[in-house]
Amino acid sequence: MDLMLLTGLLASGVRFAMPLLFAALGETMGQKSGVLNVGLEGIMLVGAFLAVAFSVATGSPWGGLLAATLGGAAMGLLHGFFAVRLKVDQIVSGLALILLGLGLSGFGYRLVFAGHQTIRVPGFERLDLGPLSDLPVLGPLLFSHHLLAYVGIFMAVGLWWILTRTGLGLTIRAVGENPKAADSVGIDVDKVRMRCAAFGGAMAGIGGAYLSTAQLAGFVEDMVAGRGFIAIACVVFARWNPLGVLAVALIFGIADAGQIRLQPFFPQIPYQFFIILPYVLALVALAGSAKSASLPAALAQPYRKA
Amino acid sequence: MTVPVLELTHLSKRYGEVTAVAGLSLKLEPGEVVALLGENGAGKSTVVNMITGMTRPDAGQIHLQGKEVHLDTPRDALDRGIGVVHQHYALVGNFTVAETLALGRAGPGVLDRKVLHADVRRVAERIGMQMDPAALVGSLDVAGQQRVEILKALSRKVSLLVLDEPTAVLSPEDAARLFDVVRALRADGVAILMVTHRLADVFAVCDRAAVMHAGNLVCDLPVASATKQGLISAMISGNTDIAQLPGLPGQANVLPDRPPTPLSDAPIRVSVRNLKLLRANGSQAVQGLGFDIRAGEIMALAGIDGNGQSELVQCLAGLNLPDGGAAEICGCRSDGHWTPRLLRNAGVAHVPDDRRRYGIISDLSLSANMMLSHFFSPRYGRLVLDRARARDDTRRAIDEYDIRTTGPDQPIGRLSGGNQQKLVLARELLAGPRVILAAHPSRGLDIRTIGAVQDILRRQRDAGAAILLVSADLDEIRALADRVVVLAAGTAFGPVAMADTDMAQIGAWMAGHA
Amino acid sequence: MLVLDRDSRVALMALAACALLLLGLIALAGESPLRVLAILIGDGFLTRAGLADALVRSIPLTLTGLGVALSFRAGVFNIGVDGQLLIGAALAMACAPILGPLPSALALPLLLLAGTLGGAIWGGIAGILKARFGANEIIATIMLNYIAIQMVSWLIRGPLQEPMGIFPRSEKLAASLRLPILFDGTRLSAGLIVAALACVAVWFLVARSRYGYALTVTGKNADAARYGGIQPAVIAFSVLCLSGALAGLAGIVEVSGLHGRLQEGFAGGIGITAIAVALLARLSPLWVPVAAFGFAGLYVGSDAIARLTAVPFPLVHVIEGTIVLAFLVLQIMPKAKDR
Repeated sequence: MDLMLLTGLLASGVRFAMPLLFAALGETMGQKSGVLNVGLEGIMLVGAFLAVAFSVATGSPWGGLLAATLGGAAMGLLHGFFAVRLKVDQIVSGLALILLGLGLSGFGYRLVFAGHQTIRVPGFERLDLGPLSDLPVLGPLLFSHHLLAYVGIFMAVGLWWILTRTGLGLTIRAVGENPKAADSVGIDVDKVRMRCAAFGGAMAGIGGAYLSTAQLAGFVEDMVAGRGFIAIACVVFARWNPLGVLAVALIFGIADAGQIRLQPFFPQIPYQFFIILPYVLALVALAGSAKSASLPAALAQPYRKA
Repeated sequence: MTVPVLELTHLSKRYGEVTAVAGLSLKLEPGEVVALLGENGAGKSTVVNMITGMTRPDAGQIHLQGKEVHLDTPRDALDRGIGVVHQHYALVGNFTVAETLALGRAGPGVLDRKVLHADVRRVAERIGMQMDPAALVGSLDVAGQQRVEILKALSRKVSLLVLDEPTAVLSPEDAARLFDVVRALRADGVAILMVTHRLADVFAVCDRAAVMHAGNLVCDLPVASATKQGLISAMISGNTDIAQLPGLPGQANVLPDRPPTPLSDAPIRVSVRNLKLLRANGSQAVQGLGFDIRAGEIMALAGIDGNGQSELVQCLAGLNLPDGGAAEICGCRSDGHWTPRLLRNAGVAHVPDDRRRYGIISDLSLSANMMLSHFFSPRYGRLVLDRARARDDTRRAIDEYDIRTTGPDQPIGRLSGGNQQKLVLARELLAGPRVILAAHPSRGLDIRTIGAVQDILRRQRDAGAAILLVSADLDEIRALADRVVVLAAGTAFGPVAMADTDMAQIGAWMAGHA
Repeated sequence: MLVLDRDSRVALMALAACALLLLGLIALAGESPLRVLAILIGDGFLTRAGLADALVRSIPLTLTGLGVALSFRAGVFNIGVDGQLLIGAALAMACAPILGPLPSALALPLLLLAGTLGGAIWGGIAGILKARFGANEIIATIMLNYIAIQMVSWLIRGPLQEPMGIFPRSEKLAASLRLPILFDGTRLSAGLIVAALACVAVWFLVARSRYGYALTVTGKNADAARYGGIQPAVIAFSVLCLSGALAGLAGIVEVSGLHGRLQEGFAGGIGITAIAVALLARLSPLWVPVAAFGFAGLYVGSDAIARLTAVPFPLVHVIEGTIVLAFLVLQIMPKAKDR
């Protein structure tokens, strides 16, 4: 494989990684505080749809992004309410989110876009940083991504920094590891968790928006295709570390991108084999990382004051 | 005339029909170290809960620095200068010491490592303690974690520090270091209330000793004028009159209906050699423990909770493997297959101390719970459940043990704790076990039921069972045990035949006093 | 007099908000909620065609719902019913050529058995990952779903493709391998009987067998299960196999009883609905068919709504989601009273 192909693969990999990255980063913060959200798939679908709908409505992808963020936050808040305040089974609540997301996005899409499939969706353009973007290898690799992609990478670093270097990070970690300890120093455990759940939802919404306005420019009904679940696998594999999540998301992204590009080199292997690569990778990651997991000790356990 | 830091006046608390604390009055001056002594159930925890804001008293007042206060939440107590180091630490394992102190106090913004570390050093220096601010809490041993808890308490302004069983899990060296800290705090004017069972603590560092028995404060005197026997007597019987102390030489020890000491050639059913067990947090619970239990005898494992009894029973029940040494029960060896299933098949019954967690399934009916311990025996069928038989067994148990319930189909969670325990006993004894591991079998039961339970255990013993009885109740031990081993202060005292010892000795051992 | 605390009141308000959302969505589509409701109930449950259609759809829902109920009962969250169903159907179809020549009375049960086995294997993979490696079964089963979809996609374009080689679908099943239609003029096959028998079997397993007891105990209190000598890992593996088996059976029943051949998306998205069915049935095998029929009718009605009005079909998923949320709220309500 020559250098150009490799560069193209890696650059694509970054693009494909972004939806995963946003969703996984959001879920990391949520899980660090003790909230498990398996409904990311539904939130991403809603995010993808809202981004397209409002992008067309406002004429700018930023309008779509805003809508997706708010919609995602609302769904995250809903899950947080059921999981944290009402203290019901977090997995069932997440499943409800998947159903709602599936329904709302599908309903909205068919209602709004039926018969208008060819409408042009204002999408995010990739950055053109002039001479930087024209560099032979580094150009496409580092300097030609969507602005959102750079935001994503920045957020990964930023969230890592918040978790390890700020009082807010301490609070979140304490709430997820030992809520009793946090409570005993006066921290409102439920409030912290609700906010992290809302943040997680917002990030998943942004992930969906990236899919439909940056990676593609349009909404297709099954476009998330399990990424919401792979995102959860990312979090586990990366040991709940935002920087690790960045690395893992990139690996999955490259696998996803690779699947299309590798195919021509192995025509005798059915294309489906390549499509399943990311999912198989996730399984391997699960098996390998489960035993050594450093998961937040209070994950998915509602906190009840004694 | 200094204003007392803490003054409790006629404090009372009831839980349903049980009076936990009755009319307790106590004063603490600044720079005074007061020991609060008493057996399990004497009411010490309730007093601590009221002082630290976890519970509200039913009657009486609490005065802090002369002003009456109502402590509604733990946060309330914290804010008013009452610090507490609980028996079970509330720490986050992967925080550093500095981060632990910063939690809840630093704002949401950036943490300045240098400032936090200086903070830790400042608080530690105040009491002459060495502490590495960058150490991970999870990597510290139990004594280290306790020091972190103390620093945590002291990082706010405290005028009163409550220490709840601080030496329960400490080695003698660590305890000595703790006492240095206590002395430094005392010199600094902090009042300290030390809840403890250990007489060594009292005589080492306390100014006054207050003894509780069955909810009442029975004596409150300067340590200088207290005697070991007097304190033990007060703890055990509420009586400070030494002549009334049970078990003194010259008094008959044995109960009239106690059978003669069991034959020493009965087969050994339980054998423990040089056993070492660690707690969940990695600290040592038990070490170098060795004893045998023969068929037809009751071995009491005495001692205050937290000295390794739970870990020992769990290990012998097959739920955990020993961390050192070996155990053998009815032919099963800990270095071979060691599972609850195997042990139960070999005839081991287990009455757990944490009933709600291990012993019962609250949602299921009595007869469903009846089947739990016999899952791998053919008693209730191989493929199809013999539910009729389970119901029959349950009905018989309801009769025999006088269980208050509407019937075998009632969810066991609806029953009172005592009745739940009766079903657990009925279940465990159903198949005529050869070994019975009974952890606090009569805890929480009323007097009549306790008597019934003890009768049952005696009958099992007479029928040839080897029984390990874990208990902190000296009366129960006196009534049932043939031999006794005491776990306290990280070591084991005994085993010794009941006929060869007396209650005073056992009480002293339980208090960590050789 | 029901006294509700603050959280319960807010929970009910959340539900009311969902209901308002539904009404709002319907209004957005320009339809009247009453008309939509009338079509939903009328076409879903009150016409002969609708009832028959609902019965047909309730067959795979019952079987998969039973599988989900079984696994949730043990505290194991099998979300992989879609994949297990597909692999079950695929394995059975792969065996079809061998079974074709055999007499129907022998071949058909063997075909169903092959389907059951395929699903069990697929569930078992997740079971091993959980029991041996401690992997989270939710993610594992979902990943296996997507892998299964691609495997079937390849199979029906490759080894299992019909001889003509034009469309991505398998050969039609021999007549001897088809589940007979119960009532002329309907699409209702003997799969209904299979589903009914499965209900009874699963009920018996849960309520009357030793294994069922171990399942229930493990699901309610894993510590107590260990105390009694039961090993949660063994339970997790075995229940995933059983759960997958039921899903695999559903797959081949659908192919043999309804479609006649294996093609893409023939039971799309049933997995999530099966979970809603199991939850609504409170994990009780005897209530699963009732809940399955209810949801099947919901789908038939929603189909009719999509045909007759401007309201798009995915509204049904919003309704499903609301039902699950309502279920959660109702679950905590009795606790609210005791607080």
